[in-house]
Amino acid sequence: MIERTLKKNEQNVAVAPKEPLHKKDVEQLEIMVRYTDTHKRFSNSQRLEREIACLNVLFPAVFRPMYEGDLMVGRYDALPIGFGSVTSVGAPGHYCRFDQMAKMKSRMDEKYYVTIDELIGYWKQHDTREIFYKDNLLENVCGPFVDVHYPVIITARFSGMYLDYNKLLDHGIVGLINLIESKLTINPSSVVEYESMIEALKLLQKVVDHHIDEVETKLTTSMSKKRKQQLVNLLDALREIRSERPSTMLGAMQLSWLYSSMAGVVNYGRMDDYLGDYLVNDLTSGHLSEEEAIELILSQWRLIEVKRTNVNGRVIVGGRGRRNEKNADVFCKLAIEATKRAQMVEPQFTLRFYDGMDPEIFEKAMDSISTGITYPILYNDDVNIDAVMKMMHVDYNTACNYVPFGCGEFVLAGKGVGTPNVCINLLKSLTLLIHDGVDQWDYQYKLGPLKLKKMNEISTFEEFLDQYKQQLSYYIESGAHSHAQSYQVMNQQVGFIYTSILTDDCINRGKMVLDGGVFHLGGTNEMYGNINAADSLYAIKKLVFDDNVLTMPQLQDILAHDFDGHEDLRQKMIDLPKFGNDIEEVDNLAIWLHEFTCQHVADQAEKVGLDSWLVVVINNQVNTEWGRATASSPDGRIAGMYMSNANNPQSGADINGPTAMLNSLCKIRADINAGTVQNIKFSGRMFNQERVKIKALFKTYFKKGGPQLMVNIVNQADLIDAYHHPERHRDLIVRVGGFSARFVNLDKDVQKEIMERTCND
Amino acid sequence: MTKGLIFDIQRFSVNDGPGIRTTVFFKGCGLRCAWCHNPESIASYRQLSYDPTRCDGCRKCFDHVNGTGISMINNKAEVDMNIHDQSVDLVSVCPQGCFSVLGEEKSVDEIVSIILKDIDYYRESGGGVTFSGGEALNQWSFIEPLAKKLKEYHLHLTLDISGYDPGGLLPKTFDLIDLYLLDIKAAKDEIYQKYIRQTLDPKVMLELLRNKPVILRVPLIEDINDDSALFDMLANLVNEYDNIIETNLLSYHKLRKKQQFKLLNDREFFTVADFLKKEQWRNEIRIRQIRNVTMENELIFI
Repeated sequence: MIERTLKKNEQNVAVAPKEPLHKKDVEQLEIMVRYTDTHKRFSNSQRLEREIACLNVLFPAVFRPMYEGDLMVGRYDALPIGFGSVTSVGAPGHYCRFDQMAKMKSRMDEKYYVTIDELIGYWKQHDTREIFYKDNLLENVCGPFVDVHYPVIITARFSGMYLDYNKLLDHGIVGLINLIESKLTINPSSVVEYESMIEALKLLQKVVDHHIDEVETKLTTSMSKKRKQQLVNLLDALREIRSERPSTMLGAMQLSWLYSSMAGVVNYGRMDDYLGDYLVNDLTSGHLSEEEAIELILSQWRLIEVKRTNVNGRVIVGGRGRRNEKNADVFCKLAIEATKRAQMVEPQFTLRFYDGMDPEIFEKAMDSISTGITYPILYNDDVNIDAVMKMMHVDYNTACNYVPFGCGEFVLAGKGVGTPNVCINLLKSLTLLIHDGVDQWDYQYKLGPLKLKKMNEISTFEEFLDQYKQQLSYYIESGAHSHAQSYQVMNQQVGFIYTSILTDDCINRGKMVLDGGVFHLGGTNEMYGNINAADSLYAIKKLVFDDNVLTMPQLQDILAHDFDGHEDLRQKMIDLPKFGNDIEEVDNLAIWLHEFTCQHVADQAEKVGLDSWLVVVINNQVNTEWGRATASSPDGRIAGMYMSNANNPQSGADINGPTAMLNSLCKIRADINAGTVQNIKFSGRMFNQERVKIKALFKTYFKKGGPQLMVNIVNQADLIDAYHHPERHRDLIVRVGGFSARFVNLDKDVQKEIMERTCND
Repeated sequence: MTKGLIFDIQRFSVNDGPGIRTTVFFKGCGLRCAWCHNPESIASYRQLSYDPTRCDGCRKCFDHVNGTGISMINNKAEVDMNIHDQSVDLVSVCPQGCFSVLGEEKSVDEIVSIILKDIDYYRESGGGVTFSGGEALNQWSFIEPLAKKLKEYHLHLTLDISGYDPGGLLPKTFDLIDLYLLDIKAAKDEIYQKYIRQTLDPKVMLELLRNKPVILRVPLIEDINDDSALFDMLANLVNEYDNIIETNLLSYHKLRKKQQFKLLNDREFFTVADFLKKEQWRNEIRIRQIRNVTMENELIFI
């Protein structure tokens, strides 16, 4: 046995640290005590009354004052205890961030310890995820998010909700209240649901009032004429949206932003669709100049950035199915310009495009990408809409509302749930299988009750694949069950009232989003280690079954000892053909693995009561983190080394150039899952000198069925220098997987994984 | 000839003609340019290559040759490539994969199947296939059936030539080749003698190519061939031959390869031009008003 130590992942997908909270610890504690006392007053059967009462404790107290230079308001701090949707801002439902509580305790005077301990004690029993974990973890098989010892990771979260902002802006707050009231007579049994929605909207008005007060007070101080005008405009907008629907882009932005903040939603929809008309109206009436509009968008970008969600903060522009395409395109172009100027890692600025789109938009996108900002990320409607129709069983118009959230999972904006509450490590699974169920990382048995053949009994590769299928089926089925349970647990605890109001068809049905309200109750399953698993399968096929270089027991032995004394065999394994080079025999195994997992995952939806449950191959940096606890594999990868990101070749394994790499990627079907991420890296010199040819390269890839592309423009020497001298490269931005980050903020092995990706120069 | 001797097939080749291309590099060249950036392309036979960075000192190669031409120094094999230029049996002896063979014999069908993988990219970008080397012309009897096959797919074909054609093969290529890349190496005989060991007159080729589009490619080596006579010659050629559609100035790169192999040329390393020098070259073009000259993919405006 080899003694192994796991490099601790302390950040839990938190690459950029957040600003310290505005309120002092004592003030935070006071709010959290009141929040907890309020929570205690209600039972689960009064979950909606409880949610409203708790939200009334938080809002508007948790908003921090506006910053100098802000053109809009709504900076919001998530306390260690509170209400949210996603793990990157607070946590889902009623939550307690125990890690943050411990830190707070260490900062505070001893006299507060009892109070803090009491809070922790209470929330150990009532935190939404704790409740879920209590009944759903499986020893050595399903672990909590992100415990990399397990082959399967599960969680209860409510990620990736996109709200129907058009509904909000078309109605305004009072209009929405009226709409909900009109449903009371149609669905009298939903009175509790409707009342909670109305109360939530009234609380939103209270939050607008709070900000009106703030701006009014600010206006009494001395300031420049320009600043004064900005604040007067803001005050007008706030006064208007307090009850009426907005008439300007500022008002529309402001209303949707405050709403998102209160809902705990961190992806901001098809912004050009809901703001395009307001923008064009402002530009034509002379209310805004183009430059002022860009300034306003930049102010919005700063508010998004400061949340530092790392893997969320999506803004979508472009694509089919926008209400007023012409006006939306105007917003789209200014937003690309703002993104290029901002050079920030959030928003994760995303362009949907299609054959026939205004070509100027793609040109602007290429210009922005060439600066190294990694944005926009490109999504191909001509592939993705069909895939969504097929996999979510919806019509064309509905599928046009697909949006990638977080790292790139597809969801129907304003109509669907698609949170990824299960992750499976396909490579770790394979290494377990090779060693008859025993993980060579920690020497635990991880096949649960599954009865599989011993490796020394297997005589053909097909037989081997069959065992792998059985193993993965067990993991997938366990995951599906947990995923469905996560919805039940969340629904028992909360209604996600704000999200429900702006999610079809909750208002009409009189039901909360997870209680039968949502039009499409889907979910996604994140796969990791796909390509290393495929490369490893090829190595097993070739070395053990085709060429008889090794027996299965010999392979077990070599891998168990991390190739010690068998460096020549390791070199042989590394030299074998790898995915990403357009080589049929190895690409075929990646195709097989993708198709098997996609199919088997999709088949579980009906069994566990979901409208869809789909594979996503969208990795953030967990491919590296999970690799740290994954044993040596037959592709020549040594224990602890990163795994490849999503469907991309193992870093540096693609040696036949970008056409070969993209051809391999295109072979992985895009119409049987709900999102994948594809990385490509160019040197700045290459990208700029060969722009025309690279555009043709992208265009061909998209015509061949490529669903999306994330483009890293870097100078390889800069990456290497930044690895050794981070202080010299604070601004260097890279696309990791489904998120962008400042390179120097990443863990060293994540940096290495990115550095070693093939750079087309 | 049923098989061609290839030393590389490069996909997504963007510097050997228009659009996205696949370039097939043929092995074997009659010239010995000192600045050759592909010296492994010179020999017209399969050659052994050795990558010392992979060696872990296992001595298996040393034992295999009984110490002839290989010595173990600091626990690493040092291989005399002059002795082992063609000892390709060493490839299977080394467990670390230090040895490989430069040059692979490939059939028309094998090459075509690789080329066709990127056909969509050629079509989208107006690209195609380039035959380069080495001196591809030397293997024309193999390229001819290959080119015919590729023409069935209407692919644009480019031939990269050094200007040295003692066999008089060039006219045989006219039916199949759409574009020629012609090297211009120097303007003075003494430079030819010293660095190339052969004197060439580009006009001989250009006369033959009168009816074909030609791109001139001019490697510029600071203080070696970048004299005013060279720029004068370019101006005259471009002026005289309307079929020269473009001239690419190629700034010398010091490309050091970790592989070792027997060198057939008197390789030297030259100065890499800085941006000031490049700007001087651009000025040479501007003052002579030579049309359609590019450097680093940018047109030098006159």
